[in-house]
Amino acid sequence: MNLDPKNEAVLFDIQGFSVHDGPGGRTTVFFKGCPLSCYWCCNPESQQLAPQLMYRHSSCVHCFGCVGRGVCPHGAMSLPQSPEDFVQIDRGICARCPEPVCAPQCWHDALQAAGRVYTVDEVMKRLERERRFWGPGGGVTLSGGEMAMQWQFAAELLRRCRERFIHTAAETCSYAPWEHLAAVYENADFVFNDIKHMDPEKHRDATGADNRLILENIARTAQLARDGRLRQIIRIPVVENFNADEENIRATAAYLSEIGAHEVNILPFHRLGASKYEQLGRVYDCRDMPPCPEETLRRIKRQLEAAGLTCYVGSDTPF
Amino acid sequence: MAKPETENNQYLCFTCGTPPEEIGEREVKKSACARAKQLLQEFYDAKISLDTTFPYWYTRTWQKEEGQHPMIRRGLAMKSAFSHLEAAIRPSEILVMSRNKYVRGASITPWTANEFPLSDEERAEQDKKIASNKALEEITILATGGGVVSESTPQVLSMARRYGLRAEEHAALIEICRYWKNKSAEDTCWKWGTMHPEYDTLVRFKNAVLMAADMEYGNRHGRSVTNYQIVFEKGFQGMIDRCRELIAENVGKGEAVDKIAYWQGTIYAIEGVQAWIGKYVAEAERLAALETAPEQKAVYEAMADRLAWISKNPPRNFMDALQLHWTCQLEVYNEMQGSGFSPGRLGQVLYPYWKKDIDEGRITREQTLEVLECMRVKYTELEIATCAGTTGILAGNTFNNICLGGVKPDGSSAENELEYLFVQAAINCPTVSPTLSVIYDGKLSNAFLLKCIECNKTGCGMPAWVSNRVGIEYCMKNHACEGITLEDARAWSIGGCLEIQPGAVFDGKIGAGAYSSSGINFINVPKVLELVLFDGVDPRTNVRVFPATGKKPETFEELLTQFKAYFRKVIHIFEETYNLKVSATFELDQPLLFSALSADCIEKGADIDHAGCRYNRCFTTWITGQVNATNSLASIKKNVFDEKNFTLDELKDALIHNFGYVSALETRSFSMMEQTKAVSNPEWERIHALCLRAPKYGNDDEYADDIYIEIAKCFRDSVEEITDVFGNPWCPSMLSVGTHGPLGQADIASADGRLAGVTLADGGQSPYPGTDRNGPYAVLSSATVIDHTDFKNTQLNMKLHPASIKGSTGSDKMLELIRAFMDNGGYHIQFNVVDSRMLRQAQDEPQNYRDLLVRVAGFTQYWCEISKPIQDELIARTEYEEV
Repeated sequence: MNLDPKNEAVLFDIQGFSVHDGPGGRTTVFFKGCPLSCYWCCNPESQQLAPQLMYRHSSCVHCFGCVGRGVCPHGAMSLPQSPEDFVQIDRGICARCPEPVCAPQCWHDALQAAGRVYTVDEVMKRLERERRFWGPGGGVTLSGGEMAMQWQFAAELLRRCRERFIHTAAETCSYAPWEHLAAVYENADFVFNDIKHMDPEKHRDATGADNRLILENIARTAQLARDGRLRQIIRIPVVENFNADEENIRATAAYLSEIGAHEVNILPFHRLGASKYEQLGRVYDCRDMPPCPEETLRRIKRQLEAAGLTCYVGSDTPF
Repeated sequence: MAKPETENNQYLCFTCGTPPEEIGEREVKKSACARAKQLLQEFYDAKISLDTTFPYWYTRTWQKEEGQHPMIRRGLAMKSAFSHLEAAIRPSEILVMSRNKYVRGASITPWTANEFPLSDEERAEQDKKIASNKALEEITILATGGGVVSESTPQVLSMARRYGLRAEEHAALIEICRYWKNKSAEDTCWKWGTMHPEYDTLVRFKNAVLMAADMEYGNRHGRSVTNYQIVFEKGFQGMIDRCRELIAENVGKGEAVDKIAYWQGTIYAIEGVQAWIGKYVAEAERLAALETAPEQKAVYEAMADRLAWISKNPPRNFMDALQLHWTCQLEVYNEMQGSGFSPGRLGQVLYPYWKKDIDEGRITREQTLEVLECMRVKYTELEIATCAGTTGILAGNTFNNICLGGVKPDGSSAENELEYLFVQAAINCPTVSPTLSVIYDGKLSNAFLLKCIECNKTGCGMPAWVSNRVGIEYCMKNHACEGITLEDARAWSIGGCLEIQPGAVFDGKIGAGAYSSSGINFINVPKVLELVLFDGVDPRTNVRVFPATGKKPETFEELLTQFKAYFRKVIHIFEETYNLKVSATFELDQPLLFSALSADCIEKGADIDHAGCRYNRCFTTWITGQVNATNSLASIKKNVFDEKNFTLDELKDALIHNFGYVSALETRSFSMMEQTKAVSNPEWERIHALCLRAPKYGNDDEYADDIYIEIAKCFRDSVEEITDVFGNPWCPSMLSVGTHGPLGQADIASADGRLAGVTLADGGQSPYPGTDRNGPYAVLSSATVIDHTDFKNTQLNMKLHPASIKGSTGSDKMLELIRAFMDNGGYHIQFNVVDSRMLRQAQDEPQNYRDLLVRVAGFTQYWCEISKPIQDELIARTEYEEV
């Protein structure tokens, strides 16, 4: 795909009435592509940058029309052994396909494309229409995936938003060159920074990347917040047996105090993204992991508050 | 946060966002006072019952008084009927009186409609001759749960598949109904209708189910606001005295004969009501004498004193006023077969009495709340008896709508403390009736608005939210031909579901009021498109409705032009024949008591059917399924003409074969969520997929929304081209009540991908369930593409998951959403705050959900008293989760 990086980006959705990603009513823009691959990720379709094929077994009627009509130009689809089984998709071939042209040709909606190219104008048009219903304080939130993978588009979009007096927020994993993030932050009112783990090794094991750049960027963002340039909210996805232990939380709290961050929003792990793994032909490592117990959340909140931080649990935020 | 996964099925998306793993409980749950709880239990246990006392004595006296002036004859019949009603008081009641001796008692008014209690054979004779509702009734599916008596037993007969009648009363009832043959509104209106040169076309319309049930004899009056201020100022005796004065003043005027008869008839009717109240006085006194517990004895004594007082005099205090309003409410329902005689801005009418009592220490807030909670149960007990066709439409609701907020005639905020208690009573004791609506205005306080949001969070579906600006502008536009004042417009209130009615309250003075919203009860818009596609033939019944043209549209514009021409013709024929038919009823079932409670009838000496009201431009045409018609036209435009994915003939073939699916009428599953395929035909599957994928209304997509605008404009203009019996243009109105069920069952599959027999889109502006894929903001955008002030009402339903509006920030955000919708010109929005999975559970285990309330289309109803087609549609409505 040859995109004009300032004007075009691959998004996988734009959702209105997003009430927990910043103040007021909001419209959230979901970017495709992420440099991390956290094992608990609830948006697995966001990880790959290019649009990709999702195959929903529950909608498939086993007509095998897709195979019969040869809807895949690359021959990635084949008949299963038994008619009760599902179409075989060679995901290796699929991964090299720039755009799942096969999806619209399934008459039962079992094949779907996750993600397509949007232009800045297209997104702005949608925002201008929806802003009438946000109410005071509302605005746009960039989410994903990781918006910094397509930072030029993100920066341009927020610049255009500010020009039109739209409140802006961006959610990021912070694993990106600082210059890229800074370009986006230039026009951001709210920034949500994720901290997954304080230990570099554990971080790498769980997400595929080291946390040093992330922590550095978060510290720099905290400085911008102290300068009154934006409001920083730290987000911790609470995953049992990974980052919920007292020690890691203590270390996180110490780091946040050190860099001068104030507000933390802890988000309990949930399995709501499970079915999407199946649709992508992947296995979800967390499929049997129970939801995060209330007690753990209360304890983390106590720990963070003891360190002088403000802590919001889940969607119970003051914004 | 997590990008939501949507639960999709065949291109339809029924949840926008992801619900939490556990089924979400509603956030606000309170409990009612002991008396209200007891009354509610008695209500849950009661069956809907028909009482024959009223029609028996009415008919007997009517026969006896043959030869009298029609008004006198009616007044005397009314007096006799009221005088013979029996009193029944239950220990938990504070407010008393019921329509008759039963808890959920209804009675028929055979002078209005006499056919439905008769046997099928007797009716068949009649049906042959007239354009009856037979075709509609055959496909109407009614509720069977709760207090509904859907099947007969040896002791109790089921009438109209809803009402129970004691077997020993059946013979008398049949005798009465036979007397009214060829005399009732139902029988005579058809005769009058034949005056229309195209009467045969009307018969064909009815047979093809182009419309739901007839209002002339089903539900002619209502969707109006009762004016209690009149009786509060004068008392019943004062009203009688005023009539006597007017008779004396006018007896010397030769042209005033009809007026004199009207006043005298009114006197008789009021005397009947007084006698009826007297029965209750005697009963309360009897119970007081028997009662040994001092506290309860005092309750009976106060009751007897109150009733004796209000039978003649204006109320002395809040409790008198509340009882008197309730008595008036009942007398109107007993007088006429109708629905939606709404109490209007009751909290504002009662406020002066309550304020005085509170200030002078005669009542406490707790006592007020107790009686208001009990009042909610009393309203919920109200039943009306109609034929199965009309029952299918009304879904058993009486549409008693109380409005809160709004502004006073001087433009200042009208909210008051009593209205907070009205809301609190609904939170503590959520019942179907009275329903509450907030007249939203920027001048209302945040505290008041958030109190209303708290009530929304109980999930009881109320209050609904309506825009004051739209209401006032509508009144100024619609009643400009009658010289409306700004004060009367500001005093508007909702009559019935959502109909805008001017001048209901006037800041402690007698307000204006308007004629009933009466007319064409829901045109089946998708059926009009079927007639276009099938060259004038109804494809379900093969009835030829319009002559064949033999032409096939070459362009989309040609097709749209033909659609508009048919739509206009359908509207005109219905309105023209209604004018003729309804005139047959004007000397037969004039509303005497209701007129006495409408300014300015007594002063003018004319009942409301003879233009006694100050505002009379109220003849209304409602439509259903315009969203399905919009989506179908968008699909045809895209697939047949723009992209040429298939031809019209190929589409018609797929529609006739229901895209290879089994009809919903066979599967008994009435939403798109669960459908069964009969044959696998790849070509139909392709066409179906493309139909479902075509642009849909509700996504802020101009492609579909522009067609919606075209339909709305064609509707508005066509409706207003015909004048009503008072010489004013007819009024267009959009909401569905329960008609999207039966009318959908009469429609074959449509080009939007909807399958045969599946329930249509609800309301006026609600997207078709599952087709709104861009979230609530896009829905609100689409819903405001039309000028809402062009319509007597519009309606938008939204289903929110409880989690999406949790906590005080959730409340704020919900309020902002409503504000934004109103600021953008929306008239009405209402919410179901419920987890769809709970509704599914309730469908499987109704016994565990006797008290579950849901919002349908302008009213709240018990889940178990809703028919399956509507239940299915409610489950399928796109649910908005926290995103």
